[in-house]
Amino acid sequence: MAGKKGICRRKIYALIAIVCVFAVSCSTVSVENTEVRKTDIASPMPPAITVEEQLELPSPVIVDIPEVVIEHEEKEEMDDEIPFSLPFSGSELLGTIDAPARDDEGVIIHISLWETGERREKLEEAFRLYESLHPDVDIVTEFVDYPGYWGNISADIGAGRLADIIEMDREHIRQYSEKALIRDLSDYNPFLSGYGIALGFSAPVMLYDKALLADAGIVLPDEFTLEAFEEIGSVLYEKYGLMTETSAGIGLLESLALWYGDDIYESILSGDTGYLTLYFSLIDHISSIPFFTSVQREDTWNRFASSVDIKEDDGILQLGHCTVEPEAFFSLTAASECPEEAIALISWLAASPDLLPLFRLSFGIPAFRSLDSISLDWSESKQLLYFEAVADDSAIPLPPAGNTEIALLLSEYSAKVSSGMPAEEASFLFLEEARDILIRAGGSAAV
Amino acid sequence: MKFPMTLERKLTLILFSFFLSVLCVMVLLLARLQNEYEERVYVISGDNTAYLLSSSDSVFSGAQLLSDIFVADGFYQQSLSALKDGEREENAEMLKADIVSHISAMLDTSPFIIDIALMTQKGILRAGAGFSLSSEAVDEASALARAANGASVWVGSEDESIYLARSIRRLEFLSLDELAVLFIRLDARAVAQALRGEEENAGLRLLFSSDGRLLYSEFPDRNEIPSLDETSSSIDGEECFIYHGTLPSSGFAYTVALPVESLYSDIYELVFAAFLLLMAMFAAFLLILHHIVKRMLLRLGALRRKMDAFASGSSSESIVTLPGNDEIAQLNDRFDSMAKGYKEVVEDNYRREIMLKDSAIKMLTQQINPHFLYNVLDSIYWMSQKYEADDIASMSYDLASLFRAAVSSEDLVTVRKELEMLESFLRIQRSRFADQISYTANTDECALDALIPKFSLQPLVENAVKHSVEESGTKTEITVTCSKEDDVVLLEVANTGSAFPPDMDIRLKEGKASKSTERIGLQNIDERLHLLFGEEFGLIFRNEDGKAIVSFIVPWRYDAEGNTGR
Repeated sequence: MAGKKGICRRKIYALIAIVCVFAVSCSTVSVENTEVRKTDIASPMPPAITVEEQLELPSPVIVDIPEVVIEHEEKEEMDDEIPFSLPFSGSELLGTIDAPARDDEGVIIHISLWETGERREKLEEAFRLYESLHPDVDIVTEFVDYPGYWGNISADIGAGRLADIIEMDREHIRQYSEKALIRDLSDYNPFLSGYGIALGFSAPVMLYDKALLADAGIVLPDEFTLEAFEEIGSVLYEKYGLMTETSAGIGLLESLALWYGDDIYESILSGDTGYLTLYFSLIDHISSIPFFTSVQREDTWNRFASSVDIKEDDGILQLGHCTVEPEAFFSLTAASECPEEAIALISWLAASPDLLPLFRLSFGIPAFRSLDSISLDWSESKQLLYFEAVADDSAIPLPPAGNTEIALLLSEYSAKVSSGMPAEEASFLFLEEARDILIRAGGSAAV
Repeated sequence: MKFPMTLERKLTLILFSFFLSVLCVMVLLLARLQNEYEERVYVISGDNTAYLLSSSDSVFSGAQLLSDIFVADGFYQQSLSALKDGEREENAEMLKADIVSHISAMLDTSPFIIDIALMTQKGILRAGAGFSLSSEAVDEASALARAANGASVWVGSEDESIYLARSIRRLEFLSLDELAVLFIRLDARAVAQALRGEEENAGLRLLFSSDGRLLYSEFPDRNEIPSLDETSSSIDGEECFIYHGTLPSSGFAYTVALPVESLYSDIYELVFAAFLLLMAMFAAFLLILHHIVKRMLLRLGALRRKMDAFASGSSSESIVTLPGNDEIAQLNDRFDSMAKGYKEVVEDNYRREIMLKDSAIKMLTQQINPHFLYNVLDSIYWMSQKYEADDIASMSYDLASLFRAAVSSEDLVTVRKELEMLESFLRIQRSRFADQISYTANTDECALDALIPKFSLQPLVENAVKHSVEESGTKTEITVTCSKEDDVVLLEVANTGSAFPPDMDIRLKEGKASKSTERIGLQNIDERLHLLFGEEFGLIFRNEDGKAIVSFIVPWRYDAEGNTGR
């Protein structure tokens, strides 16, 4: 696969080279003749690039939990902890009774998801199709926007009413599997492994307004440094008043950690603050530049997104490490009373060829479906080519429990640094608190 | 004793049977209607009951929502976590007080929640009226709640309270270690009383269960709890509709007994009133039926009386017009017409009978002791033979022949026989009037065997002799003609020397001709022809060519054996 992927990657490089054809140096941004660049850059290839001509399909990737022995710690019985043998001397409980038999309504599968927009509509249509194919199955969905999704799931766990299937991500899968809240699919289907099935995969990407940059005569450098980023932003800010979006936050920190060859969570536990101080220094620098913003806005020329978001006119640029991200990643919960039916549903969602015309590449590069039977449009072809070019399927440790809290903490301290807190102090304080979070979350085996 | 089935009784029985059938059908329909109504009432009451129970469902689901706050709310999570993680004692007490104040505030959310308690390692945090569960019951409920992994567990107690038990677990980093066990106590009796607020629900009996655990029961005995397939049952001697179902929000199973009487008090009165009305209508119908039959048979009775009178010969009831134009009136008219015709026929027959009797009497008067006379004549004949008085002998012979023919029982004789008697008569008359009488008979040979009334020609010839020779002393020429024409035989007697009066026919019909014996003879013949052959047959008189001609026709009937009569 590596050989084939290398071929594809070279093709992507060639595509990107069109964008970068006028780069004169790695650190210099030159403003070229706009018309000439438009000819070279904006003239698209024929929109329909069939997959067969370009490359072979990616092999399915299962996001699996690393080979870590996951042991669900049995909680100590509360009988010993809570003095329930209280001096009550009242009435007894009533006994049991024959309850009315509930009507046989078939199987009800509850699913919690965070998908919105077109992806939600497609999933709902797929669920309706599944219900029509399986009249005895009723699918009850609960869509919650991502910001509130995990809080809602947490509340459901606390209330003992977790859905049969929940949408999962890299940040939570390790925690949920360690808490035995989700099930190993191989227990139910020997052809499956791990704790979830993704409908597809994507890679992170920076998208930019290609036409705007061409209009401004900007050619992206081969090696994209912060200085180049700042220079481009400066030109566009002065010329069009546009802001430049930066990837400040846990993503930037992870990139720095990878650069240093460290695992961010292990380094937090070990107290290594080297790249943390660098990170907050970068934040301090970024916050000092008026046209840099770390939040998504409408008036930016660029945005940090997923390869799924690539559109026909977008300029695409790989920045940082391109870890494969699962898209529409579903896990079977331990609370499910109908695990076989739930697995059948998510397997169908992930692998049924019937859904290819509906899903196409909305959920990234399909994990279990061949794209042979459809012709890709230009956006989809770019998505496919980019993914094949940049996707790094090397094993990256899944973040431990508490990683989301650490990401929030990082945002909090990033904001403080932007408000004037020294980088060193922020680094120290963040490290202390992040370490505490990891310890309390019981995240790392190294602890 | 045989009970006579008169027409009145038959009609009454038929109509009574018909209307009894109609009544039975109506009663059956009424019963069916009531049955259908009961089924609909059962369904509608079930819907109403389900709707009514939805208010209790909101109480239970409200408690459920309240417990969700304890499970996921940040305050309780943090406070209980802090309490469990071993805050200092003074801080712990503050935390407890803070938690209890929050619990107290939550008590006000529902009037049916009477106590909320959190069982923690650091003690019981509670607000409300208190608990009435035994420690064993608390342990049992806590174990159930723990096994439910944070889900609500509902248990019922003997003190008519329903408890929600729930394990509150730490959600931070999904530790899920237990922080407390929540108990929410609901006053189930108050919930039930609230449901029974409406008068029509006063007799409602309730039973709630959750996951097979009995929560609350108003059934007096566990054995009296209706099974799941029962739709009605008798509870404490009271007939009740039974409804089973599940509350949509809380998921509680319920069994409700609804007294039927409260639902049917109105309809029972209505059904009773309808039944009474039907009976009254039936009685009224019987009276009307009786009147109609009576009225119908009244005219029939009049007709019957008329018939009876007719049968008994009384004429007082005849030709009475009955009102109306129906079949009875038509029957009456027909009967009147028939009675009239019958009366005419009877009178005609009676008149004929009288005439026959008269004729017979007349004949008998002319045949007084004929055998004696015959024997005398026979003696005269033999004596005249002895004394060689041939003329006397011949006359007595002819007279005897006439007598013999007269006493014979035959009504009809052949023309041949009649002519023989006529010749005997004429020979006697010639002995009296010598050559004054000439006689000619013109007969068709084929007509000689035709049957005609006995002594039908002789009186005519005698009449001719009387009115010609005897009265005027003139010579008379008598011609008897007998001919067959088609299917009749024409007999004609013509004589000279006399003439018939022009109104002879009328006089004969009116009986004026009966003043003389010869006229009696003519009338006798005429009536005999009428009687024997019909009104169209009779004597016809005319005068033609100086001759008095009397004729008659008789239908062609003949003596096939060629009898000559006796």
